Amino acid sequence: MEQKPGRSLLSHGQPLLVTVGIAVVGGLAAWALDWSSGTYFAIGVLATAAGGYLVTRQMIGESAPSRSEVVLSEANAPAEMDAIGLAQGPVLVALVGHSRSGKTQIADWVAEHHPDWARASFGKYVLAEAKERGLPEGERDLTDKLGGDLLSELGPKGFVEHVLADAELPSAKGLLLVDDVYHEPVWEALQEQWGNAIAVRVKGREGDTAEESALDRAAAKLINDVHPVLEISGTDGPDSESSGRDLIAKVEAQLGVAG
Amino acid sequence: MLLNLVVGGLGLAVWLVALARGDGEFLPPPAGAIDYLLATSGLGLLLGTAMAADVRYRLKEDIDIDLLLTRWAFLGAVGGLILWGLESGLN
Repeated sequence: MEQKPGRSLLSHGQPLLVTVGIAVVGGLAAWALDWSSGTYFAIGVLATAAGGYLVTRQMIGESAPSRSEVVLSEANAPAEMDAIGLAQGPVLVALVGHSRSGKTQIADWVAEHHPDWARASFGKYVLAEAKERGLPEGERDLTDKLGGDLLSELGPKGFVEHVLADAELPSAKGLLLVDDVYHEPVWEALQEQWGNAIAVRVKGREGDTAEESALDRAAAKLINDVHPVLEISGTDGPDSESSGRDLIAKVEAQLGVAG
Repeated sequence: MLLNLVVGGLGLAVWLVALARGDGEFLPPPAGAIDYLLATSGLGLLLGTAMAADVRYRLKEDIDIDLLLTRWAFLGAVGGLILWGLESGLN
C-alpha cells in the first residue's frame, strides 16, 4: 500500500494544525467575548487533547493498515508462486484472514472429509497452551494475547516448529493445511521452513461489525503484504462444507491436481 | 510510563498551584509562559499516558509509546504557548 507524498505530509502535520487552529480560534474567541482569563488555559488543554487524539489515531493507523485499507492486487502477487507445486514435494496451504471468518471450521471440515490432507493449527496450539497454563476457557482476549506472547517467547521459527511438531505431516506428495496464520513473521517462517507454501485468504462475513482486534490488524497487514494467491468465502461454522469444498477445488486447480 | 505519569502529575500540580493563587475566578490561569508550558505539556503527557494505556491494553496495539507521548507533550507545549501569547498580548 503506497502512501502519496502530499497526503503523507498533510497527515503528519494535521494534529499540529488542529492544535494550533483550536488554540488560536479559541484564544481569539475568549479575548473577543471577554471570557474569564482561566478559559485560555482550558482551551490550551482542549487543543492539546484534540491534536494528541489525532496523533494517536494516526500512529495506530500507521502500525497496521485497517480492514478497509486492504487492497489486493494480483498484479503485485509474488512471481515465485509459479514455482509452487506438488512436483516439488508436500505443499503447505495456510489459511489467513480475520478472526471469526471461519478458518478453523473450514480446516476442521477438510480434515474430517479429506484424510489425505494433513492438518496443523496455530489456534489449537495456542488454546492447548492456554489450557496448560490454566487460563479460563472462552476468553478470546486472553488467548489472543497468549498467541502474541508465544510468538515473542519462541520467535517465529520456534512458534512454527512447535505447531508443526504436533501435526501429522503429509506424505512426500501430500498437502498440509494450516489455519490461523495471522502474523507476517510466522508466514515467512513457514515459507522458510517449508518452501512449498501457498496462502489462501478466508474472507470475513459481510456485516461483521465486531471490534477489530490486534490479531485482525496483523491479519490485514499479512494479507496486504503477501497477496494470497487464492481467496475463499468465510463461514459461520455449521455451513463450512461449501467453503471447504471451494478451498479444495481452488487449491487443486492451483496445483494442477485432478479432483 | 510511570515517569510520564509523574511528569504529567507535576504539570497538573503547577496548574493547581496557579489555581490556588488566583483571584477566585473559575479556572484562573497559570502566571507566565513557563507555567503554561509546564502545565499544558504536562497535562498532555497525562492525557497521552491514558491514551497509551488504552492503546496498549484495550486495543492491544504495539506502537511506539515514547514517540506518542513526545508528540502529546509537544502539542501541549504548542497549544499552551499560543494561548499564553494571546492572553498576554491581547489583554
